[in-house]
Amino acid sequence: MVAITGTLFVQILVFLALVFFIKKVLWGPINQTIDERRKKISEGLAAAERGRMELDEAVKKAEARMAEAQEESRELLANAQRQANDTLDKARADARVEGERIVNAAREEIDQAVASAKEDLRREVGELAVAGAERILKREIDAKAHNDIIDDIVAEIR
Amino acid sequence: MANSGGGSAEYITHHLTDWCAGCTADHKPGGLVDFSVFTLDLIIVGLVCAAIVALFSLFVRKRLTAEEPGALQAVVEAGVEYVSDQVGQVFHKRNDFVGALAVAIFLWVSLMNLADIIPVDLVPGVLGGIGHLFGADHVFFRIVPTAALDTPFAMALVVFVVMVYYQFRANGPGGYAKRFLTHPYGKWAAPANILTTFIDDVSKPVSLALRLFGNMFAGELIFALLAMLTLSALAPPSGMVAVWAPLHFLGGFIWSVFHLLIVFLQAFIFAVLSIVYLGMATQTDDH
Repeated sequence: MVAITGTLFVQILVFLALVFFIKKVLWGPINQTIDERRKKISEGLAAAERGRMELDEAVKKAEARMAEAQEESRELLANAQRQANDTLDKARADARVEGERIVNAAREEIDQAVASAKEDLRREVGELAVAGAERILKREIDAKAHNDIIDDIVAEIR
Repeated sequence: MANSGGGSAEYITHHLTDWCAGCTADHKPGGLVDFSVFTLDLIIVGLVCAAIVALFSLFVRKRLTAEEPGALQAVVEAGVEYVSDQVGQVFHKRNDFVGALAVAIFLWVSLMNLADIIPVDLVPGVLGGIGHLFGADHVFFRIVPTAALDTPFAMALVVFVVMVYYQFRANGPGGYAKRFLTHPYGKWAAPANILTTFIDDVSKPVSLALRLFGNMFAGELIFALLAMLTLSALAPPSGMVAVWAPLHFLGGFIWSVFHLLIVFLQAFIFAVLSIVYLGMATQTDDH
């Protein structure tokens, strides 16, 4: 019937045993699991955030590298263009100088040839004049004595 | 049924009599308080329920995983987190002992209350039949420990002791004494204060225990009363059984559904109020 009996103490012991059992077997492990999962989730979120930041950084880095490479190639191209132009200009100048040199040499040669031909002609004319005069005078002109005269004549012919 | 006498009072009395050790000749304890008596039936049911809770805990722990919890783990985790939240709200920090205490109360009380849903005459009837084979003329066996005083008071006493311990820890012996002397009417009304504070403290475990006991005792009694509808028509066999038996089953069904709510509600109330009382005990008094 309705009464407080010794069962009270038995139930106190059973209840206390159950409380400590549940604390050790159910409450503790479950909370540990929940904490573990919480930690894992927050770690995962942090890792994702970190990954996204790293990706952004990498993209930025790649873009910078690409711009750099573009700049470099542009520079290289400009350099090559300039070098080619320089080479061409130099070659052109060289050719002009060489041509002029050749033309000048040829002109000089021609001038020399003309001068020497003139000289030859003059000498021959002088000789012819002397021979003619000899013949006219029917005697030998002392070439040595009249050399200065001949030379004068030759100079005049020139 | 071991009930051979027939009278309705005897039927009810039979249902409220324990299988006990140390009882008087009429299967009753010596008085309202008799610590030499042990109600073996309630101890056995209590132990069976505690064992089921313990096995369930082991079963859950064995399958715990942080990565992919199953349905069972999700439910248990939700419950534990709910209790954790309640404890956190009252204590403002983690308290594993109170959490485990509340979970233990809820699970154990729920299971013991659930025994009330088992048809009232089933277990006593079967055990009575077995008893007859061994020559016992009366087998008494109640199956709802929470419908007796001992088990609710056992839990309430544990809560009370922890409550007093927390009050001591939070206020110190001086603060504890001061609370008795000056709370709630000020320092000039010490006798009234002592009385009021004493009632204030003691009423908590008493109300915890009596609320659970009252609900479950009444529930058990109503099942027994409903069963008497049929029995009254059978005692001298009469045609009224055609009226009372369907009514008995309909009433039994409705009351079972309603009682199922009470079963879990009372377990829940006991657990949550324990948390609240223990939380109040940790707050330092600045009245």
